[in-house]
Amino acid sequence: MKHLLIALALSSGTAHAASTVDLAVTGLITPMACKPLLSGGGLVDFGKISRNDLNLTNGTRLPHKYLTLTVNCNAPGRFALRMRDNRDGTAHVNSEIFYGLGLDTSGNKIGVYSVSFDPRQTVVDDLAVVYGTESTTGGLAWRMANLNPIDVGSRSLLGFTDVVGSTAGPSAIQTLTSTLKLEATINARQNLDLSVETPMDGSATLEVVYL
Amino acid sequence: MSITRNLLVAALLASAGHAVAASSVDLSVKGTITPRACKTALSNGGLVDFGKLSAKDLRPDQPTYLPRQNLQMTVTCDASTLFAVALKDNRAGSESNQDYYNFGLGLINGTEKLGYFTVAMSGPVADDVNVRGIASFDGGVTWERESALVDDGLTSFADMNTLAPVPVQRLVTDLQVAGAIAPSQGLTLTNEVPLDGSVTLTVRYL
Repeated sequence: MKHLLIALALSSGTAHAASTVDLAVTGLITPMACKPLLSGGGLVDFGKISRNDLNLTNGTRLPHKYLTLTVNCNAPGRFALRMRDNRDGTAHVNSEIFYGLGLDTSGNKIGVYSVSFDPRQTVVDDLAVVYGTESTTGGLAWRMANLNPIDVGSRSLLGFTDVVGSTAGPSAIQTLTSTLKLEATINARQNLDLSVETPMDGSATLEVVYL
Repeated sequence: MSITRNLLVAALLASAGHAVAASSVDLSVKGTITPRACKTALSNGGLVDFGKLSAKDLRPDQPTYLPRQNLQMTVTCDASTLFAVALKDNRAGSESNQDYYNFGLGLINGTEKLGYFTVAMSGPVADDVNVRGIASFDGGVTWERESALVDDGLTSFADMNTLAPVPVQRLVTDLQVAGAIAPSQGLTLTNEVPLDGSVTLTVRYL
């Protein structure tokens, strides 16, 4: 796909030609459009859990929950996925793959969850098998594609390719369907004020990033 | 793709020129941690023993029904609580007769379904008031009258006139456990075969 660039040459006011520096201002609006959709309206509900069933000094893992993501694009194109935490700062483990479940009435961090993509549970167009890849550099470099599950991150990019071992990043995809595994862990009971009913309130936004 | 369909935008990007405009979908993770806590207890340590049965006393072409055994179930909460009891059949798939209130008794040689058992509630009392059993198969959205403990569903307790769970602090009910052995002509009974039913009861908070 061709696109145009605008390059602005900015020179410092006083300068010699040799000390100029170019600032390129570029961008692209793509006609490509992908619509991500989560099963169950994107709602995962763990129901009501008794305080007494939580571990006192360690975190308590909740049963795994699964949901289906579909991404439908109007044409094959290269894209990646990223998930922003709308409860940023409420995860009791600080990592880009852990999303917060909000705070209790005393301001303590209730817990975390992560969402895992498994290439083996992912169907792309008519491909028999797809491989996962990640970029921690905003899409500049991609790690070697393989079949390992990937926890989606708030800063890293996650994508799929049909080429095993590829470091070229995601391939062009029109339709993707993946079964996501959500794993939640509640903070140790001794770190929480659970004297009243305490809602878990995780909220995240999964984004399609066009490459 | 035609170049004329591409528009140009002067957006300042930090590094590689990847568009950051994104199509997105929201994920919500909900739940509640309640200070309430309930405990379930079964009399006799939850053990029902049908004793030793002779293979030759089993009916070859029809199920053989075993004498009913009685247990008592108690659910005790630290305060009045809306709860249900969920049963998980640890021998799921081994029941010789599939029904929503039948639980498995295990397999012979890994394939022969030995039989099944049922657990019926009798005379449940909640905080000294007679109540009746209700069951839900949709996670507690709708309830129906049901005196048997159900597989893959929720059991709770309602006033005698309604079908909605009521908050309870102490629930006591008798349980009648009835067993049946599959027609013996389909079973390999040359060696001693244990009846091996196992069900886990878990309190769910509503």
